[in-house]
Amino acid sequence: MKLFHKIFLCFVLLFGIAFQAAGFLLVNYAYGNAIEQEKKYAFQEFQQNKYILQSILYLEPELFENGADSLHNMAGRFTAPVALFSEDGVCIFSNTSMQPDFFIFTGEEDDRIAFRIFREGEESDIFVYGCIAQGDRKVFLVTETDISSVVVAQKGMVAYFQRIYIAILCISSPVIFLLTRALTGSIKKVGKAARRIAKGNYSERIGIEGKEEISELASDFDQMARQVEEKVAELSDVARQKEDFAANFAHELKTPLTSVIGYADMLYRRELPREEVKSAAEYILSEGMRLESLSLKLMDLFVLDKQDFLLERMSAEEMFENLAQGIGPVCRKHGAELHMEIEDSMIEVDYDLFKTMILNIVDNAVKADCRDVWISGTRGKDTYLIKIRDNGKGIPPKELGRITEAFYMVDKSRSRKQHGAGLGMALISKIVRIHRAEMEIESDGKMGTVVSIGFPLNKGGADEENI
Amino acid sequence: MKKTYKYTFLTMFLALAFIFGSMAVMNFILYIREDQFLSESGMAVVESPVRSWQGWGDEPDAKEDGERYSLTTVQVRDAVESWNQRLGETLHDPVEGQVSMKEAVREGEEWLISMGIGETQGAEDRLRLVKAALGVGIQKGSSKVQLEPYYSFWTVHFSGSYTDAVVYLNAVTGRVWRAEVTLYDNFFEELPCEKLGQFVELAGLPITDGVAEINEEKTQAVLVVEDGLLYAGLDYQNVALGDNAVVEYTNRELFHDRYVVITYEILTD
Repeated sequence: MKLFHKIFLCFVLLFGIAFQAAGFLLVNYAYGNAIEQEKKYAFQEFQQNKYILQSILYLEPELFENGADSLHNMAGRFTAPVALFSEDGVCIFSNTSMQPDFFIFTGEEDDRIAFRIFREGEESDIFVYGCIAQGDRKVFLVTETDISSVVVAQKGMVAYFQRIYIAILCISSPVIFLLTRALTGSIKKVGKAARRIAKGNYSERIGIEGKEEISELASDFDQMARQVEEKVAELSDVARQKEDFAANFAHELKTPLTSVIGYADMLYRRELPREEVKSAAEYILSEGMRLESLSLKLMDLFVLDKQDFLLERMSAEEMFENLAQGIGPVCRKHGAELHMEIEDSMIEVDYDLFKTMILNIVDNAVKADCRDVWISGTRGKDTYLIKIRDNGKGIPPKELGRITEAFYMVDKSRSRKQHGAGLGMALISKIVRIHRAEMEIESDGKMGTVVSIGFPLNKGGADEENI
Repeated sequence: MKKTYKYTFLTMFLALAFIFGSMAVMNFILYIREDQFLSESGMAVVESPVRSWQGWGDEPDAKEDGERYSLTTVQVRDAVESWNQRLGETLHDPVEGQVSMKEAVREGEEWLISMGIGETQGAEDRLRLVKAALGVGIQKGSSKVQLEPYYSFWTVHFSGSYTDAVVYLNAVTGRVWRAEVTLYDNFFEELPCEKLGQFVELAGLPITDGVAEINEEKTQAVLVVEDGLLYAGLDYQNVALGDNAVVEYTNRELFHDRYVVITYEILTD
């Protein structure tokens, strides 16, 4: 049974129990009260008729000896049907609807009066009896007070109440239905969203606003769905990158190998002049070098993932002085001029990785046909910022997001000519992460590229002291 | 059938079963209660609305036969005020300090004779007791606290061939403090002012000023009693029905085309 059914049933049960209990208490109280009032009225009526009888006996002390006619003549003076019993319990006179012989006439005179409520068929009466002393003689007076109208009225009240009960239930049932639906609606919404997410629709959201429990649950659920969506996207991205990597790797391996096999086959099968042999060997050498470069960089890339590196605090100025000896010849080879402006600061680095990173960035710059390479190091409040700027061809802005992916090349033909495999930026990106640094690449695709790497500095004056 | 619909039908069935079941249960319980209510029997002590006479402290506890307790002016005023403003009447048996029915009837008869009511009638037509009852007035919002016995009044109804008289006697003093007399014959042709002083005297109250004030129509008279705390009032209504009214009567002999209603009463401010 669903929660909706349970809540609906609970509402109906609660409503029914509350209404019936309240109704019972009300009717019972009213009934009891009405009977009490009728009893009081019956006692007063008894008192009234007692005075009437006493008045009659005052005038006619020998009334009972005068015979039945006298008794019947006096009957009209009473305000209610009465019965008279002698001291020994013999009925002297009665005009009541039934013979009230259920009383035990004790003959004891006290302040109390006896009563009995009697029902016969549709008729209900209160019989009240008491002893009346007239001289030495005692008689018992019984009065009958009809309370049938009270019983009928009470039955009418119960029937009326039950009609109201049904009417109110008929009116309130749709209200209960709507209320239950409103209560379970949000839960149902959460359930539906959960099912859609389970089917793979990770962008599904419940979107219930409010501060109630269900809204909070919905909010938490949405938060969870967001996390799941992000993780799934991340995993999909990783899977895609791996697929791309495998495909690119196979392609990068196959291209030079095809050339190498082709030239080797040609050398093996034919007798070629010296110049052509030399040319073929040069091509084989070139492709071999590219394969070597590819394998070395791949090895670096895998090593970086596996190995733990110990970062040491080193002077940036000193490092760049040493690096200039390696960067200078590379720049000169490609006809580019190197400009360095380094502020000194202590930064935590693995020198070899740092060197690889700077050399790769400069290598990329010179391969982009730049005329100048500017390297600057500035000390900020929390970071040491290294900027490597060139005035080469630049990178189209739409490619900037993908250049750190392995085997991704902006200009594939040019990269291959320069023995590039598209792994340099992926390597740089990993080295940056190892140094807990942040890298930003800016380029408009026309006027060079700026690579900014921010290295975190230790807090306090430790850096200054260590310089 | 879908499982959801199955449960919906089951829910509806259970709800309806409960609704009608609860009605049946309630009716059954009420039937049992009704049976209990309508088979009740026992002895009930009907508490008197007035308590026994507590006395004044310096008086002997019991009075000799015929001796009555006297009331202060304030008590008389309270008793009269309570009786005149009553909404109904609670009948009760006489308590200690209150006159008996026999005494009340005798006092009533004596009062009628003293006031000259019914005295010209023959022995067969003389006033006869119809009913005497002792009661205390029901006041608006009255509590269940027992009242002093002087709040009770005997209502004694006499009737004769040409006279009807209802006299109201204070249950403690046994004096008539109000009387409504209807005369169908032997009329007082005008306001019997001279009877007012006698009424006050028979009521056991002192007259402050012996001169009664009479209204212009000569239908009402007022006499100051007890330093202005109480008044004695007399009202005279001479009612002529006319011959047309005879059609209302099946017994022509019982028809009176004229009657006089005289009301004697003690009033408060």
